[in-house]
Amino acid sequence: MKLESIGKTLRISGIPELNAANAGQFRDQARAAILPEHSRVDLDLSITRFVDSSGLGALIALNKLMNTRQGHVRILNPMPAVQQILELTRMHRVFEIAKN
Amino acid sequence: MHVQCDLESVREATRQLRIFLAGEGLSELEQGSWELACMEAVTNGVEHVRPGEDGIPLRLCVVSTEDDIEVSISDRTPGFDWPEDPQLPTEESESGRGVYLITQLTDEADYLRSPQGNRLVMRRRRETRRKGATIEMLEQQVRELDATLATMTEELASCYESLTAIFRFTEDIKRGQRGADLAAKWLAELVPVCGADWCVLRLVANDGKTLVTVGATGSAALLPPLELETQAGDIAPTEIRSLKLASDIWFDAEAPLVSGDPLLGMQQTEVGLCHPIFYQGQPFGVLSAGRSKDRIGLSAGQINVLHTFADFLSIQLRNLRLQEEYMRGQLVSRELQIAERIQRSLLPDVLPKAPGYGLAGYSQNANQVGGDFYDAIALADGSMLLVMADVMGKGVPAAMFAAILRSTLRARPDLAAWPQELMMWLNQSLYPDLDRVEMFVTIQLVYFDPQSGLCRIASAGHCPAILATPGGPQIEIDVGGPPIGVVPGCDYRDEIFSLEPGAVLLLYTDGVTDVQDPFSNPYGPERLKQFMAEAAFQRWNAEQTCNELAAALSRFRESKPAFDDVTILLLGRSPETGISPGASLDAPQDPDR
Repeated sequence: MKLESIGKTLRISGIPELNAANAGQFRDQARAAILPEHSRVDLDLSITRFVDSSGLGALIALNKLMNTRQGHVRILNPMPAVQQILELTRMHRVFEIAKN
Repeated sequence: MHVQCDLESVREATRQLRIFLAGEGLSELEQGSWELACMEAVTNGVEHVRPGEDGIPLRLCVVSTEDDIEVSISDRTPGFDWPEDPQLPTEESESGRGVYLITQLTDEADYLRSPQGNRLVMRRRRETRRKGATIEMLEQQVRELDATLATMTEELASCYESLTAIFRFTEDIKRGQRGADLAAKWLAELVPVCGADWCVLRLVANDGKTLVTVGATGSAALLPPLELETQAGDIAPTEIRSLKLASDIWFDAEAPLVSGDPLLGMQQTEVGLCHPIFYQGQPFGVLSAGRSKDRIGLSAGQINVLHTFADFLSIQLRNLRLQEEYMRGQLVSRELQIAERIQRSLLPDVLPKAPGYGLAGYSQNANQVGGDFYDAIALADGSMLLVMADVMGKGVPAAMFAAILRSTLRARPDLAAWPQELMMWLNQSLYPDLDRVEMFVTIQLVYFDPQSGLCRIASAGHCPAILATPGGPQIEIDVGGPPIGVVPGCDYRDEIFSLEPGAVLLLYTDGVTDVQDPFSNPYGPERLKQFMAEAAFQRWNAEQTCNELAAALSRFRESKPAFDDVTILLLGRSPETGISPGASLDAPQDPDR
């Protein structure tokens, strides 16, 4: 997992999977990397081929943390299978999903 | 397959399952669905295993037939009641989606509970039949590729439509259309692009208190404005809540709009959302959209289009608002320019002259044009009528009344020698018009006969005149009487006084005594009288006195800007001129006496 702080944005990338086995660790590492100046977390899911409901839970936890600080989480470039689970669970209403 | 009771092993088992299913000829989509469904099921078995039984592996069994795939998973949890119709938890919930996902990803799911262990059996019909798998797999892959292509084409098309729409909108703005017209037009274009059936754009009004509809499709244009601050205890409408929470709010059958929500007035809606718009961190508006056709609602791509449109619209409408405010500002300053020209044109270019006397006037406008004006009307017999007036109010109306007053005064030279009569006639003539617009005028009229040095003064609510003589006291001449336009048909009176050699008479408006120093102390009548004593002592003529007074006021004010007009008129008599003995002001005949 790669964490980069770019101005007010924390960019997280290089996550092959977000599942029950690693979601807790991912959530804790991301939380620790969020600094007071960050108003947005950009989560690049371009190489993430599998996300399960525990992975979604970690994303929701991060978004809730950011919301308490008037910020939000943005999901970048999800693969079709991941986009499908986001839409199936209506998480596309919660997260801004962008492609770049 | 036996799966050790830890999450790493669960993940590995689901990977193995996927490989097995790929070998069975299932498509990528089917493999992914099974991988996820099994991950959810086995994870549940691991996370909720009964204490002390985590050493016993879980069993995962796959049966692949020609028509379907069946996966059964046994676990050693206390078990739970499988819901009839599994629902998604709230959007904030971090767990509780597993069962919902399993039912969405499979055709059938049975959960069998027993004290020895529970068994979940999931079935899903094959989309690709096993026999002749090669051709069918290829066909299936083509179908999947087609579907992916169709989605991509749709996304590209909506991006293209968004872009072309944005270009069109930019052109509309250049053509100078009104903000409200543009908003309505743009929303009509947004509806098909983002796959909605209706849209409403509301912006925070300039007063910052209400949310008003600026554009809408269909009947939404009739939506009444919404108060931004709701009464305690009332449930705020969804649009207001989304603005307060600064986040999108969705509504559908599970989270319906509450009774009384204005969006209920829209056509039947299965699903919709309110998207708040902020400009430089401040609430700017809310874009709401709804769709009546399917339960899933808008796709991620369509939501992106909607968000992009909302940002674009808000920036453009904000710019239009600023432009309109600028234009209004230009109009106001143009109006003030006109008023100032009218006022300037009212002041006499040249003051009348009389041997042995001097006359000087000065008028300085504050920021806003007021209704001050002075005049000196030369009469046929060499006498003159001095006028000092202040029309209540500012801007064009005050300047126009000053113009009317000036011509009304000049229409009756026959009354000039009788300021009291002239004042009554003025009040009679102007009262109806002034009363109608709730304005009034304070005015001072001084008839002056250079031959005798005598003056006759009448006043309508104006500040007193000051008469200063060298070595003598400074006299405030306050005749009294209501302003013109206040009491219909009222009487005025006049007083006679003599302008002795070396004396100076000052007529002024209250802007003079109201001039303030940087500490907000007013110049005041006492300071003005002292100034006049000095003027008489120094034997300044009218012009010198006028210049010195203007300079003294400017010094007093220092850097503080003037907030009222300053107007003065000075009549001075040279020290050498003597009063004709036995002079009288009754010489001209009063027509009404």
